[in-house]
Amino acid sequence: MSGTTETEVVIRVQDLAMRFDGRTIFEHVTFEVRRGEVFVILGGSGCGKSTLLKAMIGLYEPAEGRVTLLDEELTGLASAERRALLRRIGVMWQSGALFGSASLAENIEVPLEEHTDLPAEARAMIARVKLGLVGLADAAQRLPAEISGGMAKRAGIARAMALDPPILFLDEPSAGLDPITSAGLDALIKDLARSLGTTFVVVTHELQSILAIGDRCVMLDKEAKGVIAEGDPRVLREHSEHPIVRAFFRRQAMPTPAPAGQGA
Amino acid sequence: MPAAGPAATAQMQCSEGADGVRLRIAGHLDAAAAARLWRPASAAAAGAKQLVIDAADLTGLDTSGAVLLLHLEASIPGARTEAPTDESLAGLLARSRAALAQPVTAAPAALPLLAQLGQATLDAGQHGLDRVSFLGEAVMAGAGMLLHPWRLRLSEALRHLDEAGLRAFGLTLLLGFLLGLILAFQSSIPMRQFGAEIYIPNLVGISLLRELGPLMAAIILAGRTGSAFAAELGTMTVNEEIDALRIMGIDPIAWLVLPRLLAAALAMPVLALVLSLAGLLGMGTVMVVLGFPPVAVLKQVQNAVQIKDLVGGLFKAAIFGLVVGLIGCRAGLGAGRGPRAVGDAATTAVVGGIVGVVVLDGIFAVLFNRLGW
Repeated sequence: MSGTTETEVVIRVQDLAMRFDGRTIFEHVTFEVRRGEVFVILGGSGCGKSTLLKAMIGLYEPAEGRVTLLDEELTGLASAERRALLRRIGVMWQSGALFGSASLAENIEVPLEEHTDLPAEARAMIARVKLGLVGLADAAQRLPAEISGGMAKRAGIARAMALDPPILFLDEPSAGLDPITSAGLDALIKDLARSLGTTFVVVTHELQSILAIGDRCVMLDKEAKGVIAEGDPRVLREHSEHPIVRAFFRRQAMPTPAPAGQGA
Repeated sequence: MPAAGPAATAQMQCSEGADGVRLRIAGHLDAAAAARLWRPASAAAAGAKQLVIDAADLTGLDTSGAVLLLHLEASIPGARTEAPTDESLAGLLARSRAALAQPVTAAPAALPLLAQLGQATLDAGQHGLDRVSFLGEAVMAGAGMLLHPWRLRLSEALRHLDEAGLRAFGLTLLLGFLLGLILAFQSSIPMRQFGAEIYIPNLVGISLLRELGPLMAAIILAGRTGSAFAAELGTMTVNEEIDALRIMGIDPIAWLVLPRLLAAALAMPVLALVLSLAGLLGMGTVMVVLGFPPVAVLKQVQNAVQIKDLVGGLFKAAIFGLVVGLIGCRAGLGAGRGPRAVGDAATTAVVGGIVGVVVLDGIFAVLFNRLGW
């Protein structure tokens, strides 16, 4: 669709299926993410967005299919190689998942300390830069319990970026945030993608975020148990024929079984 | 966008000219390269009167690399950086510089020693008050429950009774049996010297029923159930469930604490009895091994132990259960915020429970003595 043949594919998801206790969450999920784009996984509540994200980072073993990150297949990788690969991705968890007993600055220094030989002085400076990038420089010494939800999400992004990974996964970055903070976060993501060339995979169902940051997206659906739409979210909003996609982008209640007629 | 493919890692060249030291860093400056170059570059920059950092030929840069450049730039007043010719790298450097320039609030300074002492005293006083007020609330809620007994959540109380009582039977039996066994064995050594081994059942029987049964059962309860109360209520506190209950107009003490207290107070006499009986069984085993017929051992126990020993012990056990439950629930409801709160609450419950029970046991010993029990 975008026609850029030279853009490198950094994530390849092929025929992925997830099942829990015989219950299928999704199956036949196939898509590619290219370098430097903001790729959005969207869909209604309970459709398996976060599960897909966790399967993509190797936290869940898929029932079928495979995930290739940066040209390495995640499934079936030996543990040392797997760790090396995981070092090249960053994840912001839905809750922030900051280490509660450490200050924000120390939270960011953890991966630097574990995975680089940088001296302490350098680590402290990097933590300051990362916190400055997400606008939290003045909260560096605070504990995660002392900051708001929006700040925790931003600190989560800062920690995920600590090692400058080429791919960042964000799980519901704007859920539960006010529109201003949420828009600020969207701008930050767009900014980082542009200036650092980072590839973002964002799980969200916030319509405005999707339209603001998403270069491309896949939409999952609970009933279809898989991908029901793929492409530029703005194009999907205008031209998709799929009733669920239309309802999602127009914030309508789903036309439940009986009536089919719909206005605009 | 930074260079995509594999790039040559950054190299540093240092030259001294008329305009001072010139540090030229070219190539791909990532975290690994920054870590490698940090010390030599810092050393080269340190002695310079004037410093020019030539980053024009960088082919790649990440934040760690940018931080190295900024660190060098800050090491000498008036140092100058020639930005990378690649626009996106120059942008990253500028962005990092701006981020680093944001004001930072320092960590709050520690209080001087005297002030710390004062703060600790005030905190301890506040905690004492909290405890007293919790006790008061619990008593009030308990009194309210006596007036309206149908309001007690019986299913909840039964669940805790099962958790605290029935599920602890295995552990209690095992510990009781071993305790009786050990006591009998240890006392048999000195008793043998006086030919008084037949009095081992008297000794062990009275110790178990009056003291060790209730005490050991209380320690088991504090470890198993007190900590569980604290962890469960602590998690609810951290998740704001307690606040939610209060806002719904439901008293968390009546809703959550009373069923637990009732369960602990009811389970404890049974646990103490089970422990004492298992202990007597352990003692009996030792006696049989020593060559005494079981009938003689039984007779000896019957003679030595009076019903008031048993009743006194079981009464103490019920009070211990109440205290362990109270301390556990109080620790949970008083949990702070953050991930350590729940762990701290569980620790407080166990330590507080055991200390409380032992202190109370001492008071009971004096009391029973005075009352002639």
